[in-house]
Amino acid sequence: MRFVGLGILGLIAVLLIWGFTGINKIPTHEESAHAAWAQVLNQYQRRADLVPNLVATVKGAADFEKSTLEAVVQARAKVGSMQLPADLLTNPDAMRAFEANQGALTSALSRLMVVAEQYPNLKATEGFQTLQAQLEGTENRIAVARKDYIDAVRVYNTELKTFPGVVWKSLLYADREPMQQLQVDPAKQEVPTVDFGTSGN
Amino acid sequence: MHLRLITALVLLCFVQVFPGYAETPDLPALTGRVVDRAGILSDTVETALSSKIEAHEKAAGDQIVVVTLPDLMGRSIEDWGLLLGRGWGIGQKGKDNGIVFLIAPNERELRIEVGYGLEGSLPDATANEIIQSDVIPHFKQGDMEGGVTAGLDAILAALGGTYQPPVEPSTAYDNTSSFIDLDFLIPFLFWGVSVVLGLLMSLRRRWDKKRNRHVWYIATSSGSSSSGSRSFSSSGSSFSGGGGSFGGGGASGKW
Repeated sequence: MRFVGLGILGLIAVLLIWGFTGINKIPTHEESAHAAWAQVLNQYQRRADLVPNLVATVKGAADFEKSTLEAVVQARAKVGSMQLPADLLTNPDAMRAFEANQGALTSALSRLMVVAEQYPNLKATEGFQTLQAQLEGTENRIAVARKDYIDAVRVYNTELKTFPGVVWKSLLYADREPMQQLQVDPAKQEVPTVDFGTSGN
Repeated sequence: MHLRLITALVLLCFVQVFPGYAETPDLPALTGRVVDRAGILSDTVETALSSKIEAHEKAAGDQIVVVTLPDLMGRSIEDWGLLLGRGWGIGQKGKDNGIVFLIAPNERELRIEVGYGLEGSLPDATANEIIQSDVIPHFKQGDMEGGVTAGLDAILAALGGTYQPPVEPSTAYDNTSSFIDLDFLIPFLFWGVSVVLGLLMSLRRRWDKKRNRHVWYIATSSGSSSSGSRSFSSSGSSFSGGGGSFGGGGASGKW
């Protein structure tokens, strides 16, 4: 009997200790999710910075299909003028708008790269090859940063919803909301189709 | 009674710790600086590559591994580069100065995955240049060993700041402007010489230090070694990653 009583007491103590070790988990996971998001933004910025150079190179080297180029310029302008609200990560609408704008630039750029295949003179210039490598690298970095953010948000949101995090949330972190999850980019899966029958100009 | 409490505590610790490691897929074993799973390298070439990497690692601290895979199992080569680099922890923790040079001969794809810390000295464009003009010409002729060796040499040169693309332009380059300009080359020459000299000097210094520490390494090799520390062994036998991380930098190519 004494053993059982002691056992229960021990179990309660262990549960308490376990619960307390989780006291910092919500802010810790929140910080890592924020850091992962900063990396996402950083890589998107890196891509946006590449675009003017890319456009100038393409314009200079070939009599390039105008509509494709314009689509890139417009998408880039939209991304550049985008206002990011402070609650972006917890606001579904803001997040959707962000995703739509970045996605538009992604598909405009990949279309540009597909069309560029038709211009051997352009492809042969060293400047274009460099930019192409940089763009590919940046797109890959974006994919990695997004994946890291998705993982970090999964951990954070799980912590908010499971014991003992849910207890700490109600006690100390009541204002914390689950963060928006990113979709795995459908634009990245499909190669854009380009109709070469109608060459611009 | 205490025993029961301790057991419960220990069990709970496991419960707490375990979820973090649950999703790592099986990686090939990191058997050395060259992991030739596809079997395209002879022993002599493998040893030569390993010792080159080891020399650079001792001089500059960067960790490089050459990996060949027989099968990408439906994943992209970018996925594999990241998976292997992060999974093995190539590069030193905090410095993230690792490189994974990955070749998939059956899919005819290759990738140079560059750790965060080396993205400056080996930017994507340079990695692409190495792949396109140093490695692929060899691969196209079926010379796998030559391609891997040339690629590694170029990577090491880039890290040392002395990389120059091969003078003979590949077929992809049909631009008419002359590639080599003497005025442009002179500062590079000076720079190259000083870098090589510096490298040699630091190599010597490392070597001297290493000799004194050698006994210590052997003495403690049977004991526990913390996984996060840099544990460079003198032979390739017990090589391990230093905990570096990767962010998707580098370049890929096909041939």
